[in-house]
Amino acid sequence: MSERLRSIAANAVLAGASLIMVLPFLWMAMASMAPQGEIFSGAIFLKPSLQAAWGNYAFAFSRAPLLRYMANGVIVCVAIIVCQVAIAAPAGYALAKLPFRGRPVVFAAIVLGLMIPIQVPAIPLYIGLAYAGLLDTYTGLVLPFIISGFAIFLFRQFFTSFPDDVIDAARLDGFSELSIVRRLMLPAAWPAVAAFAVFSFVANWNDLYWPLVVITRPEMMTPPLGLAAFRASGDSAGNVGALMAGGIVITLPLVIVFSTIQKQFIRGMAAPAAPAPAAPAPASQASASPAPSSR
Amino acid sequence: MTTPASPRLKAQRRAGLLLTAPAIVALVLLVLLPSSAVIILSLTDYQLGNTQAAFVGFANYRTIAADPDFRHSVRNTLVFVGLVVPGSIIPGLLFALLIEGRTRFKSVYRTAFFLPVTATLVAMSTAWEVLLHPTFGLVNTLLFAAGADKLRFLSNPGIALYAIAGIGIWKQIGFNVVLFLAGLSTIPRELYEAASLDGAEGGWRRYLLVTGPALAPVMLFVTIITTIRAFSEFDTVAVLTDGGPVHSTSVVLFVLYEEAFRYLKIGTGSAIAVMFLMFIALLSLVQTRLAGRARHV
Amino acid sequence: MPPSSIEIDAISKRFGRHQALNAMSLAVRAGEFMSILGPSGCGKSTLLRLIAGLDDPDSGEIRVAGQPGKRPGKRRLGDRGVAFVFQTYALYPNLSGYDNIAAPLVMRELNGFERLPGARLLPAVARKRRSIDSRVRAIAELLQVAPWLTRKPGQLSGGQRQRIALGRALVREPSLFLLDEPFANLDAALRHQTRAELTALQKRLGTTTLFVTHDQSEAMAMSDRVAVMFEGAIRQVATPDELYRNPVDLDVARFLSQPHLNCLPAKVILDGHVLIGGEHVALADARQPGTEGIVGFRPEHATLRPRPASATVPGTLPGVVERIEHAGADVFVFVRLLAPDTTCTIRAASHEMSRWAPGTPCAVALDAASGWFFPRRPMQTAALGRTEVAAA
Repeated sequence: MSERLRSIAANAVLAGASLIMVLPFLWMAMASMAPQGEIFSGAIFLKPSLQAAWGNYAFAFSRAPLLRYMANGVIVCVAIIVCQVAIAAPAGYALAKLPFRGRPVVFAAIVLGLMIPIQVPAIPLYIGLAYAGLLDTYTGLVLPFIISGFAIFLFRQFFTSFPDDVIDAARLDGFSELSIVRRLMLPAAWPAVAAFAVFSFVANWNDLYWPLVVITRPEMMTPPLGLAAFRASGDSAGNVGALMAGGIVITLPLVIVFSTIQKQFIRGMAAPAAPAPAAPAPASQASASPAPSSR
Repeated sequence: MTTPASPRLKAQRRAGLLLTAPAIVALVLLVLLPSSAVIILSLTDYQLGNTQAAFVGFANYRTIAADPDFRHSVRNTLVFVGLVVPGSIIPGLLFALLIEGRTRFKSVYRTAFFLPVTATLVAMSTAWEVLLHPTFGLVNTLLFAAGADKLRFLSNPGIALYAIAGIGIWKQIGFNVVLFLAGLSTIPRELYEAASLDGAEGGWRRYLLVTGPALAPVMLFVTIITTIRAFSEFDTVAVLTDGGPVHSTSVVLFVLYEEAFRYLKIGTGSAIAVMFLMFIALLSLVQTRLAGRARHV
Repeated sequence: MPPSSIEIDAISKRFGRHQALNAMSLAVRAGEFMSILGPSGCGKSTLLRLIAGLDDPDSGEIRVAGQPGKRPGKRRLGDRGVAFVFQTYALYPNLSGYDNIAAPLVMRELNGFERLPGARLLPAVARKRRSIDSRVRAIAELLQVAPWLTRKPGQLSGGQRQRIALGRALVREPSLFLLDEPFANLDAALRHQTRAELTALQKRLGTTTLFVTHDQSEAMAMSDRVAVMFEGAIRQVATPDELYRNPVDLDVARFLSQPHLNCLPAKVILDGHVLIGGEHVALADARQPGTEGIVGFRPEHATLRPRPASATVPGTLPGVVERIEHAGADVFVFVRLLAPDTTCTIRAASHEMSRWAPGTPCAVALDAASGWFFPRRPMQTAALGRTEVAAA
């Protein structure tokens, strides 16, 4: 087979596969702008109409508090990221640079914690939150995720390559260990922070399991839970266009934003699999962890 | 060293403990303690709202082991894993290799495969539901046009699980392509040049000589994470089929959710959670072992 | 802060199996510029870190300004008046040049609340900020780094970074100024210029300064006194002139005579006379007849004389010119001695070059007043370990 033919064949295969990858999204977009009859006709290409689009989106927004879901999603995701970074950055620094007693034990505990998915401690956490009266609250949504072993690994890996001289200089200049983390390490680790933030945001925005467990009030629902509720409610029954409109509304911002910053996201996601060669020791430990669960 | 700790060292040790304290406290309170508690709960007859509980030994485990619904869900989960793991890894690797070999449209393909990674699965599941609709779904339109019968993908107990697995593969292929691409980009070009000097001209021989071995750690990582993710399948089932029809798509995590949070059967729910934990721990152990060996080869 | 004196009393420090410092002692006067000179790995950087309080000695004591130094647990490192310039400069990569210089003042003079950006609105904080600003500007002016204050370290050249690092160290008017090979990463021209500037600056500020280097010319050019260090211990502390003229042992002599020191095995036969390879040679430094050791002399401490092809000139060492090397105004003539079988390097004026073509027989006449005699020690441990000592 000639080089040219082979290239054409490869492109054909990839184009077909790519089409399947984006198909649900494309179709969702088309259906959200198409009239009901067009959708039910079974046509491959749906003719969009401005009127139908308006009708579908208006219906979705009026029957489901989509904006409220989105706001909840942003609040929860941002709160989780802030807590995760605030807890993981000092710990990553201590594990990378401070020779304290019990460091191996702490490290082992974090490896252990990293392996445990949310479904395992969910029952006792649920009972605890129920007794504390925190079901149906932001706290209940955020709390289980504030500790991220993955973040600690990532930061530890980044901080290990930070020059010791600069840390010594900072100590002589009167920095406390915490201000070293806040004023020097975190700004220097900005790429790692960004990569992790993006990764964490996607994981928590899309999570269905935990919101389903702790949330029952519609005004506290996160986007996936809200959409699932909208789908299950009688309101969307038969109104496929409106359901698709709701799906587009909660998915599109994320897809647009994260497709444009793919590189950062992939760096965060692939960090445990393809470690930076500069820091072999922590990288190898990171690769021994099952990683990207959102914790 | 046996020299007594100097003030400097003491100060650093104190700072080390202080800076890790929030992480340790959160880890213990939110992960380790509840995970231990779930083991204890699985051995009791605790009910939500009760202040007391009796130790019942392995009664909860015996109950779920005898429960046909649970056994069914284990079987479903294994089928799902058995479909999704090879179904997403082999094409994922193939697509990644094809994309890596392109000079044009590379970023277009990459973006296409990246889409399912970030898109909210709940939303995408509802889109698939419409695409798979028995009368007007696009997939059935195409089947019909090809001369085949239309299928009731999500309401036929015989094929619903395969339809759910298809959505799972769709979701996971993108993820795996992205990871394989990241791994491929770290292979130095010189390795390929050396390989072609050594006479490994063909794509397949090049793969065996260079790509395969260099990609082995990524392959291991992808396999483990795909297995864990497949085993953790929940969203699509919860949104689209609610475990049905007639339990045909009920997977382990869905049963766990129903037992613990819908029927509030804390004891049996905890027992399922413990078994889930043990499976995940086993996978992690395998990965750590294999990863350790891969590093030493 | 007034300049500190330092007393170092028998400190030892071990890293695993490597004894970095071996019961070493040293006294530095207040206001003095002292260089710590030694080959790499001799423990001089370790010493500096111990004085700064970045590490603790295994045993022994360091007193700064006459007070016991074992108190870093009670006081934070930054509260001691010690400034440190690292070989790598150790600038804060995310802060501008200005913020780098201001950092020690901001961290010490403002509390956590006052450091918040908005706190500037409070008059008290604004006053403190203005005071910090004026001192940062003054130092920047002094070091001529004002144009680069807005840039981050990554956007600065090596020399500019070096000045920012100096500024950061000097801005808080330390009582003790520690520099660890601060010029090692500069090119030669810049190194000479900065050397002169730093000396002038130190004279003006009068801050006690400890300057670690492995470059003897740097140490000689800048210091009031030089402490020469080998294998974790101080061998000699002296003014540059004294050190140059009277090195205490062969290691020191060789280290201070780079690139060339001639070393010949010898034996004292009379006070003021040694026997080298069968020739009697006058040498004022030779004492205690019967002692064996090494005669050391610099290329400029001997002259070359002509010699008949198969004869010797009494009181000189016979040899044959091996090759000639240009060194600007002078030339170095490498002479193969007949006995002992070794090569000597002798300095000659360049116009004499034509006289000493390779193969020419010649005689090396030592300057009796300038050469040294180093008695062989029972356990000679030459740090630069060549073979002369073993041969002797």
